[in-house]
Amino acid sequence: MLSPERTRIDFSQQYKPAACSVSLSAGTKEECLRELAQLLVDAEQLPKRQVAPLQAAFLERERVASTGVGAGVAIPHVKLGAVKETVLGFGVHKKGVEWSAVDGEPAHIFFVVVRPAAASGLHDPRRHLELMQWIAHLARVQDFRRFALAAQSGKELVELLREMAQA
Amino acid sequence: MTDPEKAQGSAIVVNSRGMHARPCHALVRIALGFQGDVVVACAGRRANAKSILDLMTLSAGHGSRLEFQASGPDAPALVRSLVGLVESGFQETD
Repeated sequence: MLSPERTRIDFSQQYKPAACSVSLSAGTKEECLRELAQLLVDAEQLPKRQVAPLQAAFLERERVASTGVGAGVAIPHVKLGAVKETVLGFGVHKKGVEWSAVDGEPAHIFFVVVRPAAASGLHDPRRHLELMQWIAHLARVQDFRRFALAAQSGKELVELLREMAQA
Repeated sequence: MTDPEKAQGSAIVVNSRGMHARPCHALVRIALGFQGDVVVACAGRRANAKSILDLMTLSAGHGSRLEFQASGPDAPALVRSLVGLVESGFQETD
């Protein structure tokens, strides 16, 4: 059996253009979390009935601590019993939303991570840590953030993610 | 003119889930309350303790040793606070 530590996953391959939006427009954090949940449903990454539970999970996570990590980036990430594999989404809000981020800046760029509640053959929690580390590396890159904000479509966002993954 | 005060300290990550996003957030919140600058080193990697994204790239798991190096007028108190937070397991119960 291959050790998970010995293989490097290209997480960018897990992003679907339909689950990436350049046109988030919600006016508040709560509305934006619903918009992100709806984005995953519209992209057929989750059943329609999961919009409300996902939004509730997002809100609960934000209640514990803001997922605004600074530099205009937020990483809403939650566990959801309804998913068997990790579901990823990516969103850009050109205007920005107040997110109680550590640096006080509004959030413009959203990495959404919805993972299963328990480990299984389809979900290795160690991979989750690698994913979060990969996202953090990516989000630190100023050029990445600049290009993401300038992207015109979900397809362009996915291309950007894949280009960065190859860099 | 004197050099800014410097301080250092270390702590082992004791919470089972390690330095995932919430502990990083908690650590930054505390560090931002001080004037001094502080760097965290872990397994050969270094991060600015006032940046969540930087800290997340450390991927410091349970049992990892974090080394803090701070400078500034409140460096000793800054290091003491961060070491205390890590040693408390970031107040996580699982």
